[in-house]
Amino acid sequence: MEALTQFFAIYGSLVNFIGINAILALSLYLTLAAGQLSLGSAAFAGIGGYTAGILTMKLGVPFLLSVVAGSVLSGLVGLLIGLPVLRLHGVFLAIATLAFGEVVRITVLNLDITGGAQGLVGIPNHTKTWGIYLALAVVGYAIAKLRYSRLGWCFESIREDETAAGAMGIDTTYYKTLAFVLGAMLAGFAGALYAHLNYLITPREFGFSVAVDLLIFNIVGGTRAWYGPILGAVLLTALPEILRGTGITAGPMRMAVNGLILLLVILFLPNGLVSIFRRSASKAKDSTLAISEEA
Amino acid sequence: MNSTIIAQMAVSGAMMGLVYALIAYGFQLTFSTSKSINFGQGELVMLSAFFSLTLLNWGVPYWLMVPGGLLFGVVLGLAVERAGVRLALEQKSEGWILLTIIIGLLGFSAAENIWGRDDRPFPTPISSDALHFFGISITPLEISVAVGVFAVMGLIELFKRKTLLGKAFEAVSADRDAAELMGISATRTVMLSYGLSGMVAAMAGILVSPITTVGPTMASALILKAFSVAVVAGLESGFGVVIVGIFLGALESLTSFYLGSGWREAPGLILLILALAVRPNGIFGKATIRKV
Repeated sequence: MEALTQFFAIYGSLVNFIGINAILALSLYLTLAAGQLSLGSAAFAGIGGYTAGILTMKLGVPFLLSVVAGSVLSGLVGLLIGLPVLRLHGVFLAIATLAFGEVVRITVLNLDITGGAQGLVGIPNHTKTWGIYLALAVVGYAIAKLRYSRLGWCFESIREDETAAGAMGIDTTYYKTLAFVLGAMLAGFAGALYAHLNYLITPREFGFSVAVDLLIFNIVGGTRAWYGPILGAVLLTALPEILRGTGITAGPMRMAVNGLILLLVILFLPNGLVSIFRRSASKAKDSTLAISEEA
Repeated sequence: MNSTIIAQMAVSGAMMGLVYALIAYGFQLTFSTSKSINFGQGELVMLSAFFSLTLLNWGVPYWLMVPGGLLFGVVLGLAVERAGVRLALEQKSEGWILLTIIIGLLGFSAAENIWGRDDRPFPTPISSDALHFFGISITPLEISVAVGVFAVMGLIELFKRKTLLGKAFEAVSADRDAAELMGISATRTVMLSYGLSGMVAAMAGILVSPITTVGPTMASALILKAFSVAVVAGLESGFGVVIVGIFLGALESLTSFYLGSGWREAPGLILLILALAVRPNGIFGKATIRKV
């Protein structure tokens, strides 16, 4: 028991951070599940985080209510952005989502209520470790159930071949937007939890490189099973700490290490770490790399 | 008086806009042959600028540094194609998006580790003493940007039209399958386009760094505007980027003059989003039908 207390004293914040990253990775997984690549997913976490932070700090809204408000607003923005943007494919979708992330970052930097570049300072700490992991468990269970539901099969069919799915009578616009909005809501939720975990949040924590990290979590873990993104998030978030334990300071090399792992996974485990556990996944012809096939 | 200031802002902005146009032109080169672009192109601009600065610090004269820097850009472009694009294109997947981003981020951390995080001045023999035309001041440095941009784009267009290799390039852009049946290697043409695109990025880096200084983050603002210019003009439209680039550059400097420098990035992003929502193929692009 004492060892456990000591472990938490040292690694408590890392454990929390792993949980948040896992939820964030799952939020992107929802969008990817319908074959839609997003480079702006971190911005939704930012919207949720800033909304919830401002609500609890400046208006004294109860914690849970502000978390809900954060994720709802993030979902609404997702709906607004998703409708025009999801008509695009490939490189245009990537550029559009990237630009969206940048719009959110610049807005947050220039507004007064968000504290600009200094960030939002003095958010009360309400998020507890058990809360994060309870949320992760519920979200994980829901997403695992979703996969074999009617909705899950709709997402899957759009991801495999959007034209064919449309020809089968699936309303592709509706389901693509739904996947995007659900992902945005979940990201906003995770962002709201994150805001109440730290004393402050800054625009940089929801920037482009975080969006790329989330994508890496998904690709490394694998997008063929619900636990893939969690696996990727846990491994890659804990890795810098593990490396520090072995004497390598990973600070400036973090991106290089992530890139190397990504490259190795793409070369040897094209379906991500999931394929170690699922033989059917490793047999699948197409790789995780094929996030959405070109028609 | 007021109209002079406006004209002055517009002209200075337009010079910067030409740099966006040049980078956007690099996107067009690879998009026309392979329907892919390098999302880490900004890091290519930055790395080439740093490399050129290092050449200058080694005592290489300025006019010899330019070809050296361009060659470095070509090598980087080829490396990106080999490591990030070829495999994904063979699998007909969109993995190149993520891979080129990752290669860019690797380049970014490499630059931070090799050259440090500070912005450094970039020496140039070209004078920055203003010349005056009709009350508008232009520096020879700004004129050199315009000359450099038009020289590189002109030479590449000439290469595409007048040489056999260039005609192969055009053939693959027009119809990849038909070109392959004519015995043109599409893979090599894609390599060529990435090499040229790397060269264009290096040129942009060399031209812009005396004005903006050299640092790891020097290209992060440039690249987003290059995206807007490329998308607004159309990724397949040749010289349309010049017009859109000049327009965006001028608009941007007027925006920052009237609304404050914090909103400098806004016009580029607004144009980009409008263009994607209304005309994803660009103002100068042709509408294409997605086939099954």
